[in-house]
Amino acid sequence: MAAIEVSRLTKRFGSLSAVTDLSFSVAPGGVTGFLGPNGAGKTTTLRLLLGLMAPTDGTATISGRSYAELTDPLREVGAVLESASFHPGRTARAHLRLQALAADVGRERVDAVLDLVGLADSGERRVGGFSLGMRQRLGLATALIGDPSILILDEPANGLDPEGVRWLRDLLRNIAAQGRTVFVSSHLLAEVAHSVDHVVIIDQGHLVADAPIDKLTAERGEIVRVRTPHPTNCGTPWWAKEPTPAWSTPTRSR
Amino acid sequence: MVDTDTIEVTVSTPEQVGVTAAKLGIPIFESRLETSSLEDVFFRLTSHPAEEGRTP
Repeated sequence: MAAIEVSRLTKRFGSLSAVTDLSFSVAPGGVTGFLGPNGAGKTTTLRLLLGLMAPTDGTATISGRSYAELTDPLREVGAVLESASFHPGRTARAHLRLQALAADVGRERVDAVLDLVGLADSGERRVGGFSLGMRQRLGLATALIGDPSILILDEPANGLDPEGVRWLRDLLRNIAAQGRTVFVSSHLLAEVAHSVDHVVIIDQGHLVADAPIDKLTAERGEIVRVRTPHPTNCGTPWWAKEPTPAWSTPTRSR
Repeated sequence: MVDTDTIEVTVSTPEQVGVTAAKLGIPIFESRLETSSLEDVFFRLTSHPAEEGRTP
């Protein structure tokens, strides 16, 4: 069974269709990137998946059930949406203790996730003084508090410095290597190319790609770039002897 | 220093290009296979030609 299954999902706001007949699935044990331009419908899809709004049509399920039907949602799914907010006067540890209560997990889990996200030394600091990167880490700690098998993250690398981006990449890969599911939206395409195994791309609410990243980049075209002093042989492009070749206009370098 | 041109051959492999060049005695200083990047693929799939000429 797919960890996440979106089937013929449609969401309309009046005459505007934010998501249209969208279908894809996300398998466990990997990191799947969810990509699309601004306004493509990514956040709407994630909100539908997390039961934060109702679909006009179709279904979005987690482990075969809608979010509302999950018996222990905080232990089954950890999520961070882009708009994650925290009480500025509360310390990171106090915030996570509340989350641990809601998820019905032991307080020792608070220290474990603080350590996991690199905030072990900042647990007693008020969240209001946190940088954007630290807030992202705290959001991730919140998502991980219930030790869920599925992670849904909206732009988790925003605000992270290069070291933080690399740290996040390693963390998500380690989580996926444990057989868990990581579904992550991002605008950082170069980072996504390093971080994910599979991509789902949507545009204007429609699915435009759903494939392993290697396959997607390979099937969209390969070129052999050749540097030679003889781009032609007696006036004829010699590489034209290749079966069904195509080529660019030679560019001169010295 | 020798003047060189860089050519891009598609629908072929470095092996095919190399064998053809060798048969013809064409020197090759460099040959590498390049695949599309995720960024290339993304923009190809999500660009809208009708909007590209639009002014802000």
